[in-house]
Amino acid sequence: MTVIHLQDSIVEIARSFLATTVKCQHCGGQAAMEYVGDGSIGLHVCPERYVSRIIGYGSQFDTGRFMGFVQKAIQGAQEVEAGDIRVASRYAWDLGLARESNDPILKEMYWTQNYRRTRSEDPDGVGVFFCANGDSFFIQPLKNDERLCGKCRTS
Amino acid sequence: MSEIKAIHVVHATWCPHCHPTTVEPMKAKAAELGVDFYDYDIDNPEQANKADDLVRGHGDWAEDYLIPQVFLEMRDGTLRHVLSGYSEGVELTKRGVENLLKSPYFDGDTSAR
Ligand SMILES: [Zn+2]
Ligand SMILES: [Zn+2]
Repeated sequence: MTVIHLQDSIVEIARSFLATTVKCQHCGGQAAMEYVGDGSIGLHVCPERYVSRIIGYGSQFDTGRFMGFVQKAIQGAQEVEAGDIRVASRYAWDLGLARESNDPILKEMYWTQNYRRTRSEDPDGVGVFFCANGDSFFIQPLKNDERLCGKCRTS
Repeated sequence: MSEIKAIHVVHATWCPHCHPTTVEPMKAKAAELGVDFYDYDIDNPEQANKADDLVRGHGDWAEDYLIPQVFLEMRDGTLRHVLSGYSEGVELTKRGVENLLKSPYFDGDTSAR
């Protein structure tokens, strides 16, 4: 049991307990966790910069706001629908934290690229990538290998 | 005596987060405690209705909701959602189940909660 203090933020808990490395379905490489902005958004990104998953962390399910973020990120590749978002509550007992509360410690919202409704095997399709400089998402054909967003490529 | 009356798990037979990660250990724990165990296969039309009701009423509901989801039915009649699978990876779901089974819910003193 890890004893944590109330001031430990959701972002810190997410970084400490929810960071994993997964196999990238795009290149077969390892997709590691990266964070956007204040850390309330996490991404699984491979070395080729393909985004496997976008995860929102919060004290509540703010699905509307999360969908807005995802839609902006994937603009030009596809449209996000409510059915593409899945949610999970994390509690002290399943995180292994000592905290005397039945209330969830944090909530997670997930969007997964090329999954279920949006699944496609089209080799000429486009995908969502995250700039190697960590500044923005960009869209490119899946067979391209740019690792930088348009802005970083020209500057 | 355990405050738990029954354990309910929403699952799919093909899902590695469910099998052998969640359903089997929860079922074993129910047997150990001598409480009822119910599992609901989301691909079985009859069980899926019950699964949807449980998740919509008490769990992490979404149109295409996460599995597994574990619920504890307490002796006072309340139903508590206690775990959802971790999309981050099966190893986190496994850790979640192990932590849950070590938690005060299962140490025989849930009255303190
Ligand atoms: Zn990749
Ligand atoms: Zn950039």
